[in-house]
Amino acid sequence: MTEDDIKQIFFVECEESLEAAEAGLAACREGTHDAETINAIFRAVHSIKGGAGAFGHTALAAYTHGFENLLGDVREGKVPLVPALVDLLLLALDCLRDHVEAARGSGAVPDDADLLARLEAARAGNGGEVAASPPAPAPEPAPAPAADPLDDLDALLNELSAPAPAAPPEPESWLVHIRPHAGAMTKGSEPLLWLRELTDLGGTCELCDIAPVPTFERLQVEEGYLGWTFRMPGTVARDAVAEIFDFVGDEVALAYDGDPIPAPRIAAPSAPAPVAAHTEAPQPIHKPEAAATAPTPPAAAASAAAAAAPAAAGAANQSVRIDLKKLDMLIDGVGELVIAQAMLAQRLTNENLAHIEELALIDGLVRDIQEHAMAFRAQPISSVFGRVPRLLRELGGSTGKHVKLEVAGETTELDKTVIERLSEPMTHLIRNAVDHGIEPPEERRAAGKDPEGTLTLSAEQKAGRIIIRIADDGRGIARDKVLAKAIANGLVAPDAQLTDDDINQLIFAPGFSTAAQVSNISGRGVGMDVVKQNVKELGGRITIESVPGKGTTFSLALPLTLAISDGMIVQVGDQSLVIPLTHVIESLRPTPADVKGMGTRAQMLNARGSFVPIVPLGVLTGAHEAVTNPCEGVLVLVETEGHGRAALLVDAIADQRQFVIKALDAHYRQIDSVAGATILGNGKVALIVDVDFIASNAARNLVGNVPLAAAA
Amino acid sequence: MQASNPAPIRVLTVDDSASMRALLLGALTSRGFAVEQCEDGQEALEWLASNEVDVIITDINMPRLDGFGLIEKLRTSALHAERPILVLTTESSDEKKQRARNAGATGWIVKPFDADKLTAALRRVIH
Repeated sequence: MTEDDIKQIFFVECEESLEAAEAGLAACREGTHDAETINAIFRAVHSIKGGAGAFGHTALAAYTHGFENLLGDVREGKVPLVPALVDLLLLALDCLRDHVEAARGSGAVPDDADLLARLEAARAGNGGEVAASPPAPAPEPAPAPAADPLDDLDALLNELSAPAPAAPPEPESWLVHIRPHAGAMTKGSEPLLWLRELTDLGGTCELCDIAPVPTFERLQVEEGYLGWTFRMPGTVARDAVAEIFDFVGDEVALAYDGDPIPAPRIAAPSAPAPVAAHTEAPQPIHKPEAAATAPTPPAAAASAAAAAAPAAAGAANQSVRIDLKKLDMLIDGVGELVIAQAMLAQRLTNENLAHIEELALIDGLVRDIQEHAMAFRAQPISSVFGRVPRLLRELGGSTGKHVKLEVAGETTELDKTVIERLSEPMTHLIRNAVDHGIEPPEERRAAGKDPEGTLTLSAEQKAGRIIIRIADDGRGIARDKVLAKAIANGLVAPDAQLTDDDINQLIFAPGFSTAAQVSNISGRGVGMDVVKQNVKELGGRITIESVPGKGTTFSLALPLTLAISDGMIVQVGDQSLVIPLTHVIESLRPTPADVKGMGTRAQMLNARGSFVPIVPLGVLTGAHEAVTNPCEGVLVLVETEGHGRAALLVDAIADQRQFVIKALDAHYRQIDSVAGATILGNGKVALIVDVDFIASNAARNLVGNVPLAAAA
Repeated sequence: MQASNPAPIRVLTVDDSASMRALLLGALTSRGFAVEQCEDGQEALEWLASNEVDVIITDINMPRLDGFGLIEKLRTSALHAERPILVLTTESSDEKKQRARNAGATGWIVKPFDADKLTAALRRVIH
């Protein structure tokens, strides 16, 4: 694993931590102030800080340090978690996100001096407001970047890696007296190693006090009886010696030149009888027997249990990191298993064995495995929803419209790829909702609404698809304006009769924008057409419901996964083909009156007033004995984004089922008009029709009035 | 310092951060340690119930069971009561050090760590 790989892990961790912190702060905002929530926020920031230091992102480390200090105080109850503080922490989190982005190399390091000052001020207890008089020019309120907490290690261990240099002028040597107590030994320390280090520093043992050593039968192996006096060269700083014992702390009595030599803490040999010494040794803190017989639980057990208690919430986030490729291989294999199982079932059915118990068992198992394998790739949509609060804060800042967020179903899971590609269209829809949908506060007040707008995000699983709704309670789509604009742009004929829904859909037309002035929020050169395109590419659909004065709801219906799709299996001559169901609008048997000739070979279907080119799939595939007269076959009306509609002529519709897409280029080569292949239940390979390509080809041929190219 | 033993020193690192685990793994294996890793105190406790190591390096802030809790529990177990345990954390306050000390930690190292110094610290506590 290279340094870069590890860095990648770190940035994935950062994402997770940022999301955890965001979720925690959101909970705080709702009034949840329990220890585990606050602890989770602290841990998230703390973990970023740890990695930032390790990977040399000093700006990030310094910033997280300031952030963490405040969170630490909050955690310890030193600073009350008032709403204003939560807002400040959210701001700080936004800045942290920018810092992470900067560390990743995409974006500039944010200017955090002001924010750090406010965080520091909040620690002092005045709610995050910097004292009225701005901090004097000289003192920088922010902690010195990276320097203070991170160098501690060097301080602690410097002397080890760089033993005392042979200094030229010989300063006077000095003495150090050491007497370890029992506690040092029970915690895994080893006096021999300290002494060795003292020797390494140049020290020499002057005296070893063996007086307190009792007779053998009274000897407690854990107890410290010996004391040493070492002479250290004057070139060795006291701190260097202190560091060796820094951590052992109270367990070792240390005394330097001139200090009184520490007395043995244990009872001298002349002390009480052995039994008494064993049970009532006069050490208030460390009872020898606790260490002598190991499994005696000390008082510490109680606090250990307390520490273990708030673990439940954290356990939900437990995860194993797996290379996505391995996962895809597994899912691919599961896809094959599903197909093989279907083949087996069909075979057994043919043999009149469909009812055997084992088949039902395998059927159930395969379905379970498929479901679980798909769940591997599934992620809760909260990772997309979780970014929305920040978006709303930013939009609130730039538009002055404060918008409440209501979220439902954020635990709904969908495919990782879908999640990744969903964030852009969702962001656009939300910007749009705030910019165009939700009215300014004055206007809302005048309309008798809550001056604060509400944006509702919801996700649910329904009939094998995920439905995501983005709803605002704004003014709704002004359909008269949309229609006027569309007519002005030449998108629709002035006399066209359009339903409300048709007009709503016009906002997805390329280049359409009704905002009187293009704002810097929605007008980013990306239109709603791109949103629709993105959703469509995911195999999804987008619909609009809008009530004037009440608001607009965009509903995205997305597939659960991209690995398995629903398809319509059609018969064309001697071949079976699969048409992805997302494209299919309807299928029909046309009457001769519905079909119009155009040019020498092209034919059009009159589908309720609009003409759609007919594409005989049999000609494209070169299938034998395929139907060529539309009136003798079935027309499958398909819709594409961008390339309009087409009517695919097939012989018959055979089935509708789920299929696993296999790319052709992995086994053969890429072919136009074929999106891939799949294996049917009977074991035969069927090609999947690339509807987009066929529709665009058909449209192009019509425009140029060129006959359809025969056999691809 | 002492010559390295023929059998590699076995180190258990406990840290909830995958990147930190990867760093520790790289740093320690390349210096001849045999490294085992756990993601939090609870996992470490379960693993240590049936496994032996020479030294444990643990983070403090972890889900489920934090470093303090891990150390306290290990100190009450027969197998690990005297196991050297180093705390590797970004925390540097005296109060936290005191807490770790009270819990029974053997040493304290502040992140980010320098691999050579970490090695030195390990050798300092290994018996």
